[in-house]
Amino acid sequence: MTEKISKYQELMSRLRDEDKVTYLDQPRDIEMINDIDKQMEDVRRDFQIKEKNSQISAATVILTA
Amino acid sequence: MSKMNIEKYISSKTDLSETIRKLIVSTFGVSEANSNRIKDKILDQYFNQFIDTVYALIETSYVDKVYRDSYYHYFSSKLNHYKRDCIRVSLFDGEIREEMFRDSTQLEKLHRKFLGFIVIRPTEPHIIGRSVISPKTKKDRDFNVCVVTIPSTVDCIKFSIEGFPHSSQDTETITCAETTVWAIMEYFSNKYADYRPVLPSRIIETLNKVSSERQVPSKGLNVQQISFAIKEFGFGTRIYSKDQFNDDFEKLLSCYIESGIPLILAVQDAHPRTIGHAMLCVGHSKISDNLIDNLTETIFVDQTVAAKIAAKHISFFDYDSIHKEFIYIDDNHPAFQKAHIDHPTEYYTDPKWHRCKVTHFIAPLYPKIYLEAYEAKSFAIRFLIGGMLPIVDNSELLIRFYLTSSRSYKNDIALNSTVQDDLKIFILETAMPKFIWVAEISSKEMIKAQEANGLIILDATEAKIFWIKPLILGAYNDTIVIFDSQTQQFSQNTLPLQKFKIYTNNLKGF
Repeated sequence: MTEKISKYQELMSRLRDEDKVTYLDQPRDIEMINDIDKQMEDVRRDFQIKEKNSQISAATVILTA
Repeated sequence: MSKMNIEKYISSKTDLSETIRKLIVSTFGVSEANSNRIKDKILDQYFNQFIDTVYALIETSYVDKVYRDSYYHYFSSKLNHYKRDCIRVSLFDGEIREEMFRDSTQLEKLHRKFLGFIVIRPTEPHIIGRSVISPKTKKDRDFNVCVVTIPSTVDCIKFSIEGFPHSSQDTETITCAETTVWAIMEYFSNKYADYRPVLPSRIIETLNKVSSERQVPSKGLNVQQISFAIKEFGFGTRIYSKDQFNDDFEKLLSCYIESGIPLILAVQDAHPRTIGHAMLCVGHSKISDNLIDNLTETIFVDQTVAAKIAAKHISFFDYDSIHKEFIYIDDNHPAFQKAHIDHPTEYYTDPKWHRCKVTHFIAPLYPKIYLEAYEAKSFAIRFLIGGMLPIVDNSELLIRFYLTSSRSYKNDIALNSTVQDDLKIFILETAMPKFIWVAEISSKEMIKAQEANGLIILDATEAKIFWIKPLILGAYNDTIVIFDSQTQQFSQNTLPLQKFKIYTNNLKGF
């Protein structure tokens, strides 16, 4: 006898039946995601500069002690 | 032709320095005067930090792989005669007797008492060689650290010890820089099958590829060379400098340590720059309630984040900002030194070291971790306050952010009885990459009880930070955001969340 023991889909179905599932595809959700994207674009640009400059300064620090 | 016998001695802590002093005279040929200086300046200082109940079994004619490598590649080519063999000092908590090592009924007791080993090299005055000691050996062990299990033998009996590899520099084949590379590789190779240990000659050979000068006698390395060597040995390294990351520098360092990733630190004094030192950061002091109470609110430089936090009157705290001490593996001192990150060498007696600051750190990451700490944490914070999780006005949020393997994390969640069943199903039955970033959302009071009531799990292999792609799961209050494989889009599920015990397996306390 083989028994399926995974419960993920069962749990999702139950939540859907109970009307407890919504999808992040509404204009409000898209707006929130776009907002995070915009902020992360700045974070990435900032990080790339800091990371490159860290590499450059790393070449000048001599460790001998 | 001559063959040597192994001489064995048992010594209490009180007599340990003197026993070793006599042995380095008789077996290494060190003069009485020099041996006395070594005893006063190195051995006494080393053993003073150990608990008083330490006993040692000392064996001569020990073949140490690290020293033998340096011997054949360098020391044997010198006019001065260097011995090939070392002395091994194996440590135990409590009295040991010779007959215990020949009595199978006593072995379990001996294994429990075992505290690790220290190799004594014939490279005076820098005689402390490869060593692995348990934090239990130290008088002050109020800390959590990265440890790895290393095998050893004592009087022909196999033992193993949880500790962190350590060695002093011999100043010729290995300085502080090479020692940190060796220790990192020794740690990771004993912990994960993906990496191999390296000996000093291999480090030198690797660096020869990018050097226009000879590498021995060593004149040290720069931070970029250390990073290059680590990368060549299989890591996806990242370099962070204090100058560039400013206030985020200490938080990033803390975040990696919380992730159980030992870091290579570059330490320099300010003006004049006479000291440049490499050491490892491997853990932090235990977090007291007092430290949590003293944690101040995070002030965000990013105006968008600051405005969102202010609009909802959120009190935001970052676990990485807790003013704790960090734990160091420093080749000028015994393992597990403790100091705040703003004064990382405050345990040195020479005052000129007290001016030193950490200028850079190197994070040796698994090569497929494409999303590093700065971007990952920035994403988690923006997702948390971005509106998809129900943060109510006047909330207090304390975020604890770390990297871990999904295998260890799922193992912990599966056996964590405080995690509710439906959340368990979502976490355990979601496919995850080898490494994940986890943000635990808590509050000051909850974190004191090692509890959280929210969670964000990110895919550490997802470098595309747009369209919330790194998100695996977000859960807070009564909402769980998760990717629904059936509809191929993120879903928001209403599911009241209970408090649960936080994940503490990245670092180990003793």
